[in-house]
Amino acid sequence: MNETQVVRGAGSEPVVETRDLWKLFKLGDEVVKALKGVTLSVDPGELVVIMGPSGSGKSTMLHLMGGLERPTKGEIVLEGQPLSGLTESQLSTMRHRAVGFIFQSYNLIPLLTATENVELPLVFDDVDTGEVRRNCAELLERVGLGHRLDHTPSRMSGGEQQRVAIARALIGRPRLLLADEPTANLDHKNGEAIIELLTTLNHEMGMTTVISTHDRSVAEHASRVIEMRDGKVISDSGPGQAAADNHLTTA
Amino acid sequence: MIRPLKYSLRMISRARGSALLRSGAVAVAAALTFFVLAQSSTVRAQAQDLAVGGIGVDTIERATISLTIIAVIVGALQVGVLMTRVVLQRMQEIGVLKAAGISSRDIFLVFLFESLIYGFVGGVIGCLVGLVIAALGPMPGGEEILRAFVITVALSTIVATLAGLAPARRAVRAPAVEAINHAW
Repeated sequence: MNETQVVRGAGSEPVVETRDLWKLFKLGDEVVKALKGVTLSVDPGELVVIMGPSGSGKSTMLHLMGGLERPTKGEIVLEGQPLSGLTESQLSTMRHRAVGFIFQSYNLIPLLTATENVELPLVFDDVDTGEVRRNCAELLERVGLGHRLDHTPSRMSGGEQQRVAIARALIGRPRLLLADEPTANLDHKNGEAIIELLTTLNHEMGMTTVISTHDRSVAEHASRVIEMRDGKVISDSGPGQAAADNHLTTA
Repeated sequence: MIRPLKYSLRMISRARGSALLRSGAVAVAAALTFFVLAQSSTVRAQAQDLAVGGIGVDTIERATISLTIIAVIVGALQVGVLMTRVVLQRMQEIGVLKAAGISSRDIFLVFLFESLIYGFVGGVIGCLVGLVIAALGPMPGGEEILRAFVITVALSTIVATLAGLAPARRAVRAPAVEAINHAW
């Protein structure tokens, strides 16, 4: 596999930056403008919430930031590496090492246990299975599911499944955690719990996290809120502050 | 190669009932193939008898080969259809694997190996079933059984793998975001 040339910058370099990002989709005969020139950057340790109604482009933002989709125009720089010049295979390697994704539908594999679901990203790597399993158990403990290691998703609630998904996103020790509408399929109480977990992980692990949501109550937990509408950023409560504030705010 | 293979084996073993059904579908075609191959010398002997009565040996042999070919084609189609369904059912899983940065090569191998395994297991089961059926009539010689067994399992495995190429490629081609949102 090709190794992506990752330029590791100094501590203050943004984890991910977008520059005049555009994304157009063809839907039948129509062209959908999902993003219309978005420029922003996320610093290490930030917890950013991207808020907006459906169709605002927030999910597209996340997919592009994580190299899951390619922009129509503009640039994404992830960990100092411009993504435009990368092949699909190199993009895949980049995601593998640097990014963890969480989706609103959890996307756990029904026939596998919690532990097996968490280890999934690493299951094709040349790594010591025993050590990976131990890390899986540790992460599952951390997200509060130490008692569910051998349970399959069918024996778990939605909130628990999403916790497994979070653990899975973290197993590869990514630099960036991208949560696309993580609470959309959960009731308010469970949704709150998930956001609390993400906030705790952000504080404890310094895990740079970007959450997209249409739920205003989620934004309350964030030190930085970016509002989007119709593919554009209409407000941004500001970068930079967040990383410093994180260590002062109580979870 | 080993890791995708292990993963395929794990997914098949978890699928239990479905895996058995899929193997069974392949086994039917394999059983027919085995039966025809195992009986070939018996058929030839009988054909020679029948040749006196007007039906050429050639005709019988051609019929035998035709049956085998039909069985193989049916088996291939079954694997193709089954694996396409498997890939569609597991689209969300494919999306997750892609999001996690698993290489296309590994995802391709996972599904290709599953086709191969179904071909192999189905082939073996089919041979056993075919053997039982063959035992109901004049029992063919040990050598002939072995030959039929080897040919059937090899054929079944190869054909299933080839039939599995297209579904496996489909798994890889699916764009990650659509795969993740795929509802079955």
